[in-house]
Amino acid sequence: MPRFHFDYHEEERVTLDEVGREVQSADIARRMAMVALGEAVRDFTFAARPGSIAIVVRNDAGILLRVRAIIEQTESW
Amino acid sequence: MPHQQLISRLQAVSGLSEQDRTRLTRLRYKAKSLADGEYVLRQGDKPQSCIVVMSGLLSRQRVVNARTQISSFYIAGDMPDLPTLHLPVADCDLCSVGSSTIAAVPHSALREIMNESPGLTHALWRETLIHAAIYREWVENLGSRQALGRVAHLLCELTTRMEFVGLADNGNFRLPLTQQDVADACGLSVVHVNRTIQELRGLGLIEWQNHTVTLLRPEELKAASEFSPEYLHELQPSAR
Repeated sequence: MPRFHFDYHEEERVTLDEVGREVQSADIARRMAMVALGEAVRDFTFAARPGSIAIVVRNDAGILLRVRAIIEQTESW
Repeated sequence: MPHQQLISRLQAVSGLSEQDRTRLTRLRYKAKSLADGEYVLRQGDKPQSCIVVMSGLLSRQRVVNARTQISSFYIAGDMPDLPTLHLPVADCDLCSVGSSTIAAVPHSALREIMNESPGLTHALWRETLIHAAIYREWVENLGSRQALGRVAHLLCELTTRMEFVGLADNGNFRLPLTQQDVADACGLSVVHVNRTIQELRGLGLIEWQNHTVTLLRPEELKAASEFSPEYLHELQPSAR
């Protein structure tokens, strides 16, 4: 099975997934990245915190996919 | 011998008379070794015995909405399918996490000791209620906390339960869970759990290497997850 790494980017802060994990297919890796992005967004919104989050999927050859969420707050009370 | 672990567990949460401890050492049982991922019980089974975990870890789980949800972990001294004594059809799967050893005690043997001893009936009833309390705590954990709090709470609970039966030494214990198991227990994806564990490490709260977890700053970890051990109902709470 191919091995993918799922790095987490939060503004300038990056958490590298050094070990990575074996996933059956690129389709499943894409879905995993999306689900994880949603969970990270939930952590932000739970804390009522705007920001930008991305999950970057890569293998040994390089970056394969990037999913990104921007939580924007526009105030005009 | 399953007796020692079972006695340690019941002693910690219920208290046992000397006669009841003797009764437990006389229980007949069949020991079995389990490989990682081996099922002990499947949903729909009608077991004729109850399991006592002797070593290792079991998970109670079910597939819900195409993902595995672990709803409990059981460590040495626990009786994961004690309810089958009264609810004969198993309502979930029971699976070994890493290698484990278990003892199967026939329902008939358990009924005999309970008929002989109100103390043991009381202890096993209390044990069932405590596991129900743990389950409620898990629902609250999954429903209310962010990822970091959920994982931290799970680690605090497992350390405390292991301390009850002498398996944790100074916040240091063997834990055969994979990140996938933590994800399945915390209702999170394995990718997010990986990041969350790295965050706990980065904050200097835990170390987790080669299946050994060390709580480096347990008080802060407890605070991060609002962990309070009352729901585990230790009989004589020690200063933790």
